[in-house]
Amino acid sequence: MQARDAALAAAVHDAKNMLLEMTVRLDGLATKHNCSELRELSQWSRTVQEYLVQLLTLSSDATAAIESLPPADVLGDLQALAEPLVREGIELSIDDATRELYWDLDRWLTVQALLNAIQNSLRYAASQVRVVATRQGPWLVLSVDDDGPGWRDTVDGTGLGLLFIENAAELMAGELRREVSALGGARLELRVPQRGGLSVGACNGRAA
Amino acid sequence: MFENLRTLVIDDLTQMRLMLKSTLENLGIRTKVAVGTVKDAVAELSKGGFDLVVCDYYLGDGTDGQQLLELVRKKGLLSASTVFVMVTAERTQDRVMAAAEHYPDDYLVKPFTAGLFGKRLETLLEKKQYMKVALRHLDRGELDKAAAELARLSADRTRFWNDVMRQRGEILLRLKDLDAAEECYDTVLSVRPMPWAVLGKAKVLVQRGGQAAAEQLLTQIADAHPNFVASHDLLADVLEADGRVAEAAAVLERACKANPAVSRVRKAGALHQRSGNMEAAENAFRQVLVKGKGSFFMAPDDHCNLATVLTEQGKTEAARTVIAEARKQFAGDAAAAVIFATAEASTFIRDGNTKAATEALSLSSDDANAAPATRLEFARVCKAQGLEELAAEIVRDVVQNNHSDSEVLASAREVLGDAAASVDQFFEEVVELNNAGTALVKAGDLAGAARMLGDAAKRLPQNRVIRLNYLQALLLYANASRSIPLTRHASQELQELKAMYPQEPRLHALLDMLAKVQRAVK
Repeated sequence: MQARDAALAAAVHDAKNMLLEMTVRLDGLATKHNCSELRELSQWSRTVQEYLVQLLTLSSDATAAIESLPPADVLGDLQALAEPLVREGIELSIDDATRELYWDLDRWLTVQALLNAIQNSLRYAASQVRVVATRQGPWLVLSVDDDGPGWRDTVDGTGLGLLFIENAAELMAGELRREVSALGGARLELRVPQRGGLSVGACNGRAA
Repeated sequence: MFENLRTLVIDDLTQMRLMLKSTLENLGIRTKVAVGTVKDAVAELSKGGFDLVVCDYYLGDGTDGQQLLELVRKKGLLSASTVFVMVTAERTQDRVMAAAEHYPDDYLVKPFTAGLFGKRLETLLEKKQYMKVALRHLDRGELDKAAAELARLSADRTRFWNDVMRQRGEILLRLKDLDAAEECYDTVLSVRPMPWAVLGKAKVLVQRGGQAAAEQLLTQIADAHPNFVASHDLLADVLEADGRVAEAAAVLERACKANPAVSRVRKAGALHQRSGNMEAAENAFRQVLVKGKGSFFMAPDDHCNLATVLTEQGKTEAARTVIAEARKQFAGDAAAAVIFATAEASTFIRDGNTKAATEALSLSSDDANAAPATRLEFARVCKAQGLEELAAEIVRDVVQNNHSDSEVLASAREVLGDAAASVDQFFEEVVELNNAGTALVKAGDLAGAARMLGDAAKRLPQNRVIRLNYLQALLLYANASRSIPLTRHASQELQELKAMYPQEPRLHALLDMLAKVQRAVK
């Protein structure tokens, strides 16, 4: 199983790199011919790449790359990536209520997990999606609230989105909680603990 | 908000350069230069004036962005206020480098959107703006002023506190203000055990002479965190300084498993060689040649190191093959020719073939532009061949060109062996020359001082102290005589010295002095 896992991971990794090459070439062509269709294709291939990178984190030997940084920096990345996704009539707010200078996180993993949650909330929200970072004892709680119809029993699409968030939480030795939002809709909490010891390096919370 | 950023893009792949350029264009950045090799990047950065550098980690031909960053920082080609962003293909590799001595302002993982890049850039520029005064002092070599400004900023726990403290700790270490540096690192450690702060604290202990304490701390860290290579590097330095070369080599060998950067493998090889483990040294030096093949960072010394350990093991034929290969790669490089001739002669000496050794040496001659260590090695082999006079002549020139470098003096004594006392005589000659020149300045004989130090500078063009004192005398004389040609000459001298010694702190004062003289003469 381990060997198959490793082979699978290597294949996905190669596919991702080929797509990166393709994206770059498509970008070049789009600029050269000033063609919006090519630009759209390049955007698609970017999205597929992101799927693949997310898939890679599900493999058994995946690790989180932990660094200590202000949660505000993570939310800054999130803001830049989420803003273009917001549709008209919806208000997205992202706030850091912790003012922490250091929290042990995998920056990319956290941003991608929250981005998945935001995408989901945006789909169902009536008028607002709210992302807040708060501190609860030893936990950093990153919550995504919406005022949609709330959690449902059926899974949307492949279910990869939620699986990825769950996996991200596990890799950082954290938790995922699904709650009812004070806004009336769904609330998702990504809870990440501060690690002990040196704030650097690989972490696999699943192994712990 | 980014229109006026002068930007340099470095990536070995043409397509990737285009993509980065178009990302920058989307952000409104107008002035862009894009290069594909380390050599071109160094040339561009030497011109100066960049606000932003975007560099891919993989640069092809065995070079990478980290090596480039280290090179340009050491050479003083990168202003402290320039934003340096490293682009990587993988999500994890950057963490291995997290505590490296030279680090970029940020890492970005490919592919990224213009929006994300813009957001990061905004924060980075805000940070540079926040630390502006300190960074300007740092660029001018005014370390104490930079430290004072950073101390002021560190009172506020802004989002840039981490950067302020890291920068401040480094400057305090450079200033050898160990108490303040320790307090700085302890403050950070009381909040979070940041790797760079742990390392900084260990450096304080090392500089204080607390070798044992530093060793204990570093061993602990290195054992618990095999990927935190910066701690292994420092531990190896500590062990080496303590004379435990074999242990140092073992530590580095382990670090090479986590991160086999060429510079680290090279160092491990040298330590193995010194500890007498020629086989391990051979392995390491072979790895350096394979990894660095065709790289900008390869030096003739890399081939010679391998040839030397092969010779020591009696594999002289293999050593000569390595040298022959190296000669092809560095054809036309006079300094390299000296190195290769020396190494080849050594192989023949080992074989007991005196005639061939002398022939090998005669193929080349001493080159004044070669590195001091190269020339001393040449002298050593000459002496071994009975060419005593030539050896002494070379040693004299090397010593007098580098009389303030204690390492050079020590090696020179070693080379001359029983005649080591002449090193002191060579040394005294320069000190007297320099004293005589500065005495003339003090006595007010500026013309005499400029002439005397000028002659000395001509004879010893690599002697930093003499060159700087000559320039100072020249400026004083130019000012007193209101001479335009002398001022022009001083300006040329200054440019030359700036290129030779970019980090020399005295140059700032001399630059100010030149500006004053230029105004006065006009």
